Amino acid sequence: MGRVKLTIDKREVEVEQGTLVIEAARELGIDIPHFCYHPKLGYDANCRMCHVEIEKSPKLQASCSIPVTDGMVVHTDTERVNESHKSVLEFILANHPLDCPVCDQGGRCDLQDYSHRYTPTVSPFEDVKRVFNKEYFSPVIEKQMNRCVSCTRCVRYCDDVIDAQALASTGRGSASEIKHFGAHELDCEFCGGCVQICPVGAFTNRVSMFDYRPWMLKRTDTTCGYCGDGCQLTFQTRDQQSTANTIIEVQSFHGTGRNNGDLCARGYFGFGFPNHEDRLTHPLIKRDGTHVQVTWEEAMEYAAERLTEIKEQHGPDAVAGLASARLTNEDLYVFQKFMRVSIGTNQLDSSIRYGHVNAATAMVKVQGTARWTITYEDIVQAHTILLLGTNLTETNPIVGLKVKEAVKKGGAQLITIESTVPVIQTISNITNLATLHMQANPLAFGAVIQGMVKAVLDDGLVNADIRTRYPQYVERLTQDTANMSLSDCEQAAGVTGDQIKAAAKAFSEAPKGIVLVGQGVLRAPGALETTLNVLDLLLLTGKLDQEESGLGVLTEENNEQGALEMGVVPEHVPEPGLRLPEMIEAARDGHVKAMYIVGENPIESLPPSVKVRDALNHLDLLICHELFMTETAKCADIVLPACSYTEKDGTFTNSEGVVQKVRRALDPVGESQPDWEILAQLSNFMNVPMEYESVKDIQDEIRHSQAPMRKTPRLDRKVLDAYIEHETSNSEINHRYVVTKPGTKDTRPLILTVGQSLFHSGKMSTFAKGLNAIQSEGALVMHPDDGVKYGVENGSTVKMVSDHGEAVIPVKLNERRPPGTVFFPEHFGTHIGAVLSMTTDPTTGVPYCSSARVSITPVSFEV
Amino acid sequence: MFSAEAKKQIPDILKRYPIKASAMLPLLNLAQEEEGWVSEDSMREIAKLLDLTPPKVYEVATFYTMLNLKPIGRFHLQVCKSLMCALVGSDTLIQWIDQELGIKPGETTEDGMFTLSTVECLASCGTAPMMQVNDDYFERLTHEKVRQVFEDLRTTGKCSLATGPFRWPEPEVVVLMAAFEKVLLKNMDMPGYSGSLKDYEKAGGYQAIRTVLGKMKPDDLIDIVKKSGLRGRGGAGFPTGVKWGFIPKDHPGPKYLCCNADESEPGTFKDRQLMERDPHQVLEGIILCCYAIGAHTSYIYIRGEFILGAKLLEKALAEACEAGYLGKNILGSGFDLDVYVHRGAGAYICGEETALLESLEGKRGKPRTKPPFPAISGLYGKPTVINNVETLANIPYIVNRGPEWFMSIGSSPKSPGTRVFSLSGHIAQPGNYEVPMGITMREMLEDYGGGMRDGKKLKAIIPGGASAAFLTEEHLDVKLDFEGIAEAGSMLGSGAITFMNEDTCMVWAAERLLEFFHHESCGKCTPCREGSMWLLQILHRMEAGHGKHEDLDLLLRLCGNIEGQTVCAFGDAEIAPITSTLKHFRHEYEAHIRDGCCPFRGQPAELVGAGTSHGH
Repeated sequence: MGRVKLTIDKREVEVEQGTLVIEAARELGIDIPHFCYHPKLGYDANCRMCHVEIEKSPKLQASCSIPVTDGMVVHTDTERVNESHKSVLEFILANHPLDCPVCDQGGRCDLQDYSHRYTPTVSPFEDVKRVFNKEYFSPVIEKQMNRCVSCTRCVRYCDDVIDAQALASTGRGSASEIKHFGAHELDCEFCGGCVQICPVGAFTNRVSMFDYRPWMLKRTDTTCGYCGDGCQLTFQTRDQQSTANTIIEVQSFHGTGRNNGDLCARGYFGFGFPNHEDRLTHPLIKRDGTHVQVTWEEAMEYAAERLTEIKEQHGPDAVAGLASARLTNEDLYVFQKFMRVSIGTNQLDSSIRYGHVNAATAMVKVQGTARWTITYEDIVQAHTILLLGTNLTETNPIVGLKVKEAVKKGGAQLITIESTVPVIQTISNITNLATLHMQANPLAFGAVIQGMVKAVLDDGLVNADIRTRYPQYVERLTQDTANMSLSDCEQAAGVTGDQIKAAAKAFSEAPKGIVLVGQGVLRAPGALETTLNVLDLLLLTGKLDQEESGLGVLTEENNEQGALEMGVVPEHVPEPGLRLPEMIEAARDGHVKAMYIVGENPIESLPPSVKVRDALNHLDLLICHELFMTETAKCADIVLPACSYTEKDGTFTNSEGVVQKVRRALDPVGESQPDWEILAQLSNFMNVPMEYESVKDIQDEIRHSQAPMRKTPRLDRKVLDAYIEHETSNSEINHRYVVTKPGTKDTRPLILTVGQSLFHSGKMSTFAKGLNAIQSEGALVMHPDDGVKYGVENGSTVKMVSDHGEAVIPVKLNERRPPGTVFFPEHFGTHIGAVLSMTTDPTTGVPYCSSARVSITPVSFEV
Repeated sequence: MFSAEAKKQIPDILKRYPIKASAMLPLLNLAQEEEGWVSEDSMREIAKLLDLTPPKVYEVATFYTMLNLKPIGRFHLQVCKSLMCALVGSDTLIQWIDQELGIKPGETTEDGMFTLSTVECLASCGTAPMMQVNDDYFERLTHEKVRQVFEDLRTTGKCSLATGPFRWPEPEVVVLMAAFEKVLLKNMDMPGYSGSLKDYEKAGGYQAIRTVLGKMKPDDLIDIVKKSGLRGRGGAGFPTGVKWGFIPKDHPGPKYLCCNADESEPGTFKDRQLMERDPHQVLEGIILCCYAIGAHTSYIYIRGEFILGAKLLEKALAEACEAGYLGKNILGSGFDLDVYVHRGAGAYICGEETALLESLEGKRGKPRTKPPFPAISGLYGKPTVINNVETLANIPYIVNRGPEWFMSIGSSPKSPGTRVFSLSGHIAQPGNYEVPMGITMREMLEDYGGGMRDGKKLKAIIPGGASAAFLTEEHLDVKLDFEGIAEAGSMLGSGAITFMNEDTCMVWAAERLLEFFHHESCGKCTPCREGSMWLLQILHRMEAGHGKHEDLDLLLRLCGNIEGQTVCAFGDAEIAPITSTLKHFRHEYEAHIRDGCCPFRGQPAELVGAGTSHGH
């Protein structure tokens, strides 16, 4: 693209060709007033506020819709221009209610600011103002149409960026009004984008309605603690009064963060949990079966004494530790140091054991790094994107936006291997945008990849360079896949051979290709093998070692990558410790006497059939750091109140491998303390000195103790060569290319999967008022055809039975769920835990417990 | 919800468009035909068919006023209340309906038989007062006729007083005054001419495509049209050949022609006659244009109210296909063309070319910013020509008789050719008259319009449809061509001329037109959306006797703040009635303010054919 020189207000500026005049002015620091323009959206030029004079154009021009031309001369501040700006404001204000004193946008409203800049205090308007009757819009988004300037940014954002199409610009002329559908309450993905992008107070956050004036709020930039996307948030808190240590609302600004200011419902409305009345505020010690409040000193002394005692009596390996991947890197680092140094054991694990370990193991084995070799920008620029078991919109909504942008703006091809049906609803669904959608059995995503690898080999799609460089590897894989057929894959996954061949062709022929793998794969049996097969696919098609191409694995928790990189796993040391499922067994059989659990809740994370509670009760000592009294904490001998991430400093590492700052926005609730601080103090109490003034000291130590890591590393050729050497030297047929068909069972005709809802993340989000207003209970989601088949309607109650147990739950019908499968959101998982069982991955020790074969029968209640 | 019968039509509807969403209005119209209104269930069903969410269907449905989002009576009475109808009694018609049925606008009779709505211009200004009842027009209504209509509808569900195919005035009047050779109305003047393919062929139709298709280079055809000097008959008067020449030659296609048959400019009713009486003439023009620009698909965007016109066009299309004038390899030339009729659903703004495109793409009819111009990025982002019905109807004759012949008619070189003028208002003989451009306004009024009715004096003239500034009797000697009217301070526009007599209140006339513009503003641009509402409120106040002297300056200032500040020309149009009446008739505004009432109010109602002279 060429550069163009132009003059704005007598100053020269050089910008890229195609730049709009309004943006060129911005580069000079000139803010041309506007309402409808937003850099994220295509221009609509409807507000007519951004008029400028362009020499040689007789009429004033909307600077948002005119691309610059060489030698253009623009005036933004002439009398004629100012008169035009004033007149637009006069028109808007004629019907505006001027209710600024009770408007939550007051103080940060574009209309207010421009009015201040331009208009006289008297309006010549003396007629009757238009009044839109107030109507209830939604539990979390407030709509006040009398304030609307009809810029339609909200509608365009919802359509173009989010792809939810939930807002309607209705009516005509001066009766134009934003609605959902008729008089219906808003039903959408509640990303809050309409509130954020509204230049005035037409859309505001109902969760914090009337709670604040913007200028009274303190802003803290931090990183979201829900999923692994790593969005930058700004917490707005009220801290004038000591009683008001609360987050009032969340914003994310255009141009900031990996999310570029876009958020999902969790990020935007999920801020209410830190001040929930159930927060633990004091240390507790269990005496005679009940928890009693103690001082920190008592708790520390007691914990140190008991731990030391057990360590001395049974050796350090009688102690096991478990941490949540939601903690900061600093917490996690200090945790592993506490376990390894203060206790002296490698018996430590974290919640990445639930799935991420599978991906990490495969990535380290093949590419030598468990970090992404790609970035979000690469996704946006990609030619072809393959999604595998991601349920992207619900699990990783912001990565979802990157994929949407790639498809909608960049024209990327999207291949999806997902278990959802592409059905258009006012909650977006990434499969709707697929150029090739393969609707796979959720238990057999891997079979589609096996098929694609075979198709690449059989159809001559192997990258020429790879064929030359690694002929023996290509040969080996050809042998490995010789015994499988695409019809096996078809039988296993329900995806036709033709679709698989088409996908293989499209993916191999794309100049750049990215594969994103999600929880649907990583938390299900065969995850390690499938990830390795995906790496084979990338390698064969020449994309593994190519810039801007490669594999991205998505993480459900905010700091899974951090937990991995901080070493909160028992592997990778000469004497590996026990992994999570083994720890539980060791607790049960008495080999482990004490457990130290930081923010994890295995009793609820693992199904009741594993009997985690019994195992934990069998321990001599259980210490928990917690925000809330979880089922696991209830079993603890010592419960230590921890700060949430909103109350402490630190860093999170997102899926992509970007380390981002977490900043303290609130004072610690009650006597809670950051996890690292608790651990360091306890270590001191145990006479193992651990001194940190602040997280900075920890960060320095981390930096010294680790080899520096590239933000976006490249594949390590030596590792790849070793992998290929290993694969080709082995004489046995590789079991990774044996297609396993998920069995069927007539008495249990439905496949249940448990996973993430768009409106929640883990269980912490269920303490956020805003999110509960959107979704406060779990329901079993099934296709309406299955509803008919099993005689259930929307909202009716069913008994769901598996080989392991049963549950009674409500039903929600949704055409996105393929017939024959049912889905339950894991955040409310305790309701259905009984039907689940656990199997453990023989290689990675990952406990699988997110699917089951079930049958359902309607339940009728006797009145 | 669609019936099984309707569902059978859906695949055929979807097939007409390269993108599904374009079937939006056809499906909404179909849903309404089925149930009389568009229910939420219908919108949900349409959303599914078009891969959209229900809100996206809803936002479109609420934009078009013909679509009823609530159930209505079995017969929907839609009375045009725009200025041209109001001049000759539409308000009285509303009173008659009240007397007969006991309902006011917005109400439904208790038996659920009749719902009354007032609507804006239905392109029947020369035959007012009128109403549309479901699909049918009833024109030149009298109290007696109205009574008859209701009785027939009540008893048989049908009424033979329904009018159309449209033609006004009657042929005997026309023959008497044929001083010039007509071009476009010539065929239909022939006794017994039905507008069928056979009749059109007999009259020399479809000769032009034989001359051109496969025998002439497309560029040569464009040159002929350029040479003829033909300018658009829709309103803007852009040279047609030049417009065709803007279509990029090297574009891989597809390219499109959209025939603008959204005739909605108050005062205008010529295209309705051309389509209903001689549709093949328009189709031949379409074929020629498509050949010239390399388009293989053309859509005739016809306003939703023209249900009969759409049916007659569909019939003509079927005949033309049958005869091999449309479809694959037309007349063995290797040229393929499909033409489809696309009905709107009640939105004046869709006559604006880019709003038409948006509407055709299944969206709300909001004008686009230009550039890019449709010739570069039009329908579906492809090169597109949008031409008015009358413009296209001229093409076969230019081909047959040569550009020099066309140039020899009318005010050469800038305004050659004939124009079909639509005359309305307080004149003796309203109707469509085809004359060469360049005759004077006086000739038009006296020789064709039959002079002012009932010996009243002429007060004001709107020379080019509602968007044109008012002129006065002083302007009777201006020439009726693009330049003449422009010099007089107005515009020739769509060729609709409305004459108003001395009893007409100019404030009221401006108010009526503002009601139209306020009703039809799409709402996109702030100045037009908010300004139309503000201006209208001031005029309401003024007419009710609550005006103030400051209001006059305010009106002018607000008009100045709308002019040139909007995406399309609608903003400029909506201020024309105010600025021009303030220019020529400021004293009437002042009288309203001074007297505290409308000085024309209370004068005896003057019956003109039917109804009162100015609707008070």
